[in-house]
Amino acid sequence: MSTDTATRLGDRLGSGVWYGYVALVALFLMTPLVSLVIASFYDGRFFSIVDYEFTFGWYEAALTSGSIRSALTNTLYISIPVTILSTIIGTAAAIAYTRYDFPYREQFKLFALLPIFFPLILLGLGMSMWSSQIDLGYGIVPSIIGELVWISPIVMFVVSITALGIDPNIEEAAKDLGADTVTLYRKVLLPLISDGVVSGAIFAFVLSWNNYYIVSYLSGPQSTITTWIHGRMTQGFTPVVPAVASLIFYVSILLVVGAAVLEYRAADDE
Amino acid sequence: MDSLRTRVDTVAEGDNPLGRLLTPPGILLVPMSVLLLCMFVGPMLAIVVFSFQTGNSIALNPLEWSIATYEEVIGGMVTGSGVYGDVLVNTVAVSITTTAFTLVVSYPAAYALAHKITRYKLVFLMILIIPLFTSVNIRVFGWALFLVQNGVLESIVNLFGVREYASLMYMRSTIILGTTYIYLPFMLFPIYLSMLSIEETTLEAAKDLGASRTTLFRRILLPLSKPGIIIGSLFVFVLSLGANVEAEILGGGSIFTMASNIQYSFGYSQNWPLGSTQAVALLLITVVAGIVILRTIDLQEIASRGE
Amino acid sequence: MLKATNLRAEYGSLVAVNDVDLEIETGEFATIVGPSGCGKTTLLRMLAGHQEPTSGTVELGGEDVTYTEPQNRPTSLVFQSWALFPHMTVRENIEFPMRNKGVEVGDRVEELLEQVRLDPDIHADKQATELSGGQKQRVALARSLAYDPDILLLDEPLASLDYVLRKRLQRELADLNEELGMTFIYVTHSLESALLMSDKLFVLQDGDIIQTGSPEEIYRRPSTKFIAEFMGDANVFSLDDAVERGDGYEVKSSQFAQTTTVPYHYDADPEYLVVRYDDSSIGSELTEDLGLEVTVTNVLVRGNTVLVECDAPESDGEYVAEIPIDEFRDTDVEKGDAAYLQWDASKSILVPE
Repeated sequence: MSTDTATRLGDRLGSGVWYGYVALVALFLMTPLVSLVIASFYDGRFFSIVDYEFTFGWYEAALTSGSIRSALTNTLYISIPVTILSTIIGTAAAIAYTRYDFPYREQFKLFALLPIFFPLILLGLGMSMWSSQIDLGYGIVPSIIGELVWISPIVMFVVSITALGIDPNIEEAAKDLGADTVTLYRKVLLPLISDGVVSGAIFAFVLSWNNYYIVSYLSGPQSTITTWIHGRMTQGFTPVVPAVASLIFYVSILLVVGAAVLEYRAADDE
Repeated sequence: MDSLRTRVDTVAEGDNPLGRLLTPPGILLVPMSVLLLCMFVGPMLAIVVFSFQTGNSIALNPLEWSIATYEEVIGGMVTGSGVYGDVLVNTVAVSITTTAFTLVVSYPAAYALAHKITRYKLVFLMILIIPLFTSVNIRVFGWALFLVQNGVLESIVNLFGVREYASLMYMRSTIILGTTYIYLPFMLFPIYLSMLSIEETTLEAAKDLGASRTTLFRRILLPLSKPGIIIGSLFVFVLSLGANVEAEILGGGSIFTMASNIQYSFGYSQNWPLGSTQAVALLLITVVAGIVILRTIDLQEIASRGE
Repeated sequence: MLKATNLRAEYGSLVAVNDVDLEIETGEFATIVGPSGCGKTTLLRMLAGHQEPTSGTVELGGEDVTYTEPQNRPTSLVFQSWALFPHMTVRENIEFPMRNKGVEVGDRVEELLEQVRLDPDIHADKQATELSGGQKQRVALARSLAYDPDILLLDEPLASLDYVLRKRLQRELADLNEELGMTFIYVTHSLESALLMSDKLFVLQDGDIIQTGSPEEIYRRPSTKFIAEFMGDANVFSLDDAVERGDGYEVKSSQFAQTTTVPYHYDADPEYLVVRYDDSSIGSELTEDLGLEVTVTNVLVRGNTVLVECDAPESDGEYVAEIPIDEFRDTDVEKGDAAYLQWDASKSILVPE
């Protein structure tokens, strides 16, 4: 009897070790983000956990600062069009790739998804040179186009995964039942992939909202939140920086969790 | 709506090339193709073209071509003159170490997530995925706040009575910490996905047939998760070749890597051809790795897993 | 010999296996049969060591193996999905357990493939994923046999195969059991498999073993209405009254044209009378000693016999008689006719609820 309980205890311990390990990895991944949040509420010069002095001051300062506000406005001027356009471009490409047969289909996928794997510094640099050669210049519009190159393929990837899960005969069934092309899209195809499109759009926004590399090469004199933070990190640190960075993080976490809950509910419905 | 409908369907029936372009799938392919041709192929061509230009030109001169920058960079790597030898060694060392570390950390975690974790799985996945959606420089900055003198770590070790805290910033190992951290999810998720495709019964069958833990790992788990390991390793290796923010913030300019050197050539020294030449190397590696990754990934299989 | 005592499995508040006792002799072909969700797979997994019981013990040849890990148990499980290693060839799959045990491989792979009736020259070096369903099943079987277990456990490995192939493999399994003298424990929801192959049947319902015996015993003498219905091909009548008379009971039902006495063996009062389709007959006159008036609704030919489907006007019951085709021709009964469904009273089976 004693050996029985020992084995079973060992088994439970075994599963505990796995949980513990994954929790450690999760802790590692959250360390800088937690540090950021802790620092953003800390009112003092030398950081201390023992006598932690709490303040909302840096957030207030962040929200009232003119330069931060204009950086925030610029970020939104970029992120919102990027979200809308990349969702359209990515979804269209995903539908074409997953629901139609056309010449060079696999090559199209390879080409369209390739930018996802590029180090952003390479994309940013190339675009920066190219932009000056074709007189596109630097600013909000070039930043939007630049981010689209990286984000539209990601949307395509996300939507493709949803679209591939749909019965391949659904279009034929709809056409059999008398649906024309517009009806097919409006009533059948788009509703079925809507979950993927919504998560794709949320990812697009969050990725654009957090983009640094591409914007830093293309935004020219306009500063966005991420380039503002980078500038202050490398030269002229103020305690407002953690507060601004935390604010960006809060928005991201909210949207990503929202997207996950959406996915989860959709999966539950099935 | 009706008129649009008839128009779309009449066009579909016509067989002229323009008509085909205006109906699915043609019309669906146009935006992505135009975008990538104009702003992806163009820029990458620009890098290649500029790498063959001379001097400090920032405008294209169609008459002057040269391989001077290639001679400088490759020659420098071979003979060890200039910074290029060091840069190459540093970059490859950082990338290989990062790939190895992320693999070692991710593999057991991916296995546990796919086969051992049942409760709170969604919570764990969320925590692991959130950093991917937070700006690289914000996360690196978070590490700086954690590690600096008078930072979070110092105040934690003080709790345990350690009074002498030597800052961990600005060291080679700090850069590795940063890159390992940033690229961990790119290793973790591909391996996790390939672990998910291993059926629970496959593992049970192996145990049932007398496999020890080492046999189970060596002959079943490892070969079946190989696609994930390949994809993750290529991903991390290529992306960490382009790592710059980590070196800049955590390394404080103490080490020059390829990415920081490229940026330096473009920024301070305004030498586009020199920067481009170095970028071409990165570009070649990236394209090859990207194609290998995309060939290995089976979208259909990911979709059928319903995760 | 395998012996399970008070074996119990709980998932939270759900009891999947409820204090089951099980004894299987060496060399026996035992089948655990029951509808889906009855706990049979859980029971099998506990025997294989893939799941720890909540309580109770499993003994193999007198040794307690309740918490022994599957890799250290002399059992081998053939999975419902076969679980072949997809990255290995047929040969590598079969060599896998031998290498784990450190056994000389030699010509064993060829021998085993021949034993499961696969041509080694054609199949040995194929990738496991290239095989058809029936071939995968055979390879999975050969792989388990390569482990040389004392007990082979089979979790409905034939369920996803087509009828003809299933029939053939059932017969082959029974032959193999005899040939090897190895204990087979087979789990299934399908009765035809259970009846054809087994020496001993365990009927499982909601985590309890409700009847144990030879297939013949259980087929001819189901102990509950559930088993009688589960065994299929039987008419079930509910009784109005049953009075003990010597060895049996005198049964009464407003449906029946007669009253008669039927032998009975169980403690609880009989509630239902069961009679098999092939023990029933149909005729325009009442000639047997138990029967009832029905209307013939349909006549289906099934090989040498016909299935005569009928309605009883009294009870909305639908009943069937299976009789040889010639015998049916002689009766002159046709679809739509009123007739008697009848049988030899001694063929009746009385069961409690």
